[in-house]
Amino acid sequence: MHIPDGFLDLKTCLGSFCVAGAGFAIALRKVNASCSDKTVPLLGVMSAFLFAGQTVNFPIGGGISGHLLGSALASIVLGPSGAALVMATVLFVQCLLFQDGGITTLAANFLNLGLVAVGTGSLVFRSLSRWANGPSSLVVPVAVASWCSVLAASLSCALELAGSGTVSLRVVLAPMLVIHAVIGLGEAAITTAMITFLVRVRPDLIYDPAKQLKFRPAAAGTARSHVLAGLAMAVGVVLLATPFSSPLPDGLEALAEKLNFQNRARTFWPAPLPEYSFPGSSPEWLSVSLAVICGIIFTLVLLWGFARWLRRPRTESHAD
Amino acid sequence: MRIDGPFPTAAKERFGPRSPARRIVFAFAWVALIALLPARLWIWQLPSAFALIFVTRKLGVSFTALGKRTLLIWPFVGFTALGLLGQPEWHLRVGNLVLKAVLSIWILSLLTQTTSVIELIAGLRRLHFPAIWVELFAFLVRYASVLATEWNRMQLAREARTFHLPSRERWRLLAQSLGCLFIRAYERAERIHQAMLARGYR
Repeated sequence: MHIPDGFLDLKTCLGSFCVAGAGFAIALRKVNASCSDKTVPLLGVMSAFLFAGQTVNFPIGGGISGHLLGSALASIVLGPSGAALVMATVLFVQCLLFQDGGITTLAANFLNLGLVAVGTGSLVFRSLSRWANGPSSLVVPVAVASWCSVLAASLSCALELAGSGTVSLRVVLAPMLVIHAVIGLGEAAITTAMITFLVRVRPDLIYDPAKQLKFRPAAAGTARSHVLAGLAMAVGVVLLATPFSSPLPDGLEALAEKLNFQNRARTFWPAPLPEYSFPGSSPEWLSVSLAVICGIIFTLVLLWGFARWLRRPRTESHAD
Repeated sequence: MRIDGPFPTAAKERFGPRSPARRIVFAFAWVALIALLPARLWIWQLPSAFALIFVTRKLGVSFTALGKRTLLIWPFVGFTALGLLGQPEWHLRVGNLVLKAVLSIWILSLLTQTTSVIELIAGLRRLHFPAIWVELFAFLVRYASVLATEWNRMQLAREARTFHLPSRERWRLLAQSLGCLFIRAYERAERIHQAMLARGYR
């Protein structure tokens, strides 16, 4: 699932760098917030373990063998933010030293295997393991979480490939999901066997913030860094989602067309960015993205002003 | 493959920028240029290809070694090519994908053939990559081969005890040994942490 260089176009690369950069920064902040100086050696050796574990081949039958991907495993054992950092390191080494995956697609690969897979695995595991009481009842949450994580990663990989126009979504989506549904079964089997073994032998190693804090919950960051991360994420999502924006009219416009009252619509002032496109002769994705980004910034400024107004110092005003 | 310490470099002589940071930036920029060039302009990849042939000859790196580095991309290329079959201009698009992927891998292989891991880490620090990430990179490079050796030792010890893997339970037992390796890795991390503290870390 490692996308090589040259398979994604400029807007998908930029968009994934924005989203992945923001996600990486948030994970980094959460890990840095833990006062423990044990973090670096622990995460370092864990990434080495994941790297070595991915080279162990499991016989599936018929001479085919598969190997661990490890996103769900890492998120269950290290927690989501630690797992994201570990996956980023593993992907970087695989790309730089082993040419598995590319440099320009590094962010996209990190988005798939680091953020989407780890996030899905951790969410599913946490929501399902709420009802677990005992080592053997963890089997279903772990299995479902690891299967879902592989499937979510493949879905996001297919969307990225289709979004950059390499292959059409109709062609790539079904084979991608079917293949990874099968791969996910192997992943689920390996992860479940490993986690049940670990729970039996060393239950203290499973990430469990409710009981034992390996990483403390993130210290509140400054407002500016939150705004920057949010902005980067919004810009990235816009860049990634532009190719999927529908040329068809939305619901209200369709209704207006049907009832034939769009001719009655009058504009009171000319729209600054008509039809979500930026004036000038730039490629379509750039103009649409720029228009939406301008909209986002405008909305943010409005919201910020509103928040400032809400938080204005309340002085007792005496009517005179 | 050993990834601790400097790479078994095949390069006869140094060529290009001396500082590893500059070499990293140069390689990444070149890869970005190749990977992001629109498909219609594929003819402009040819200067890059000729330059790469020249650099490879100058460095004395063998072309077969470089070819072996590209092995990992072919399943992905094949999968995408199958999806593109029958589309308009499919041969241009598939050829373009293959050209871009091979050239990018070529550049990155040349980078790792001429730059040892120690130099890479120094270069990444110099370029102000996030400090914790560079440290994790260094840890991974240092301990991946250690853990791989440990895995081989565990397998060897198990075989020495005349253990036979029953074919039905095989994957479960393999997963449990992987769990064992995980516990050993965790304990090693604790030991490393104590050793780092003993040497005055932070």
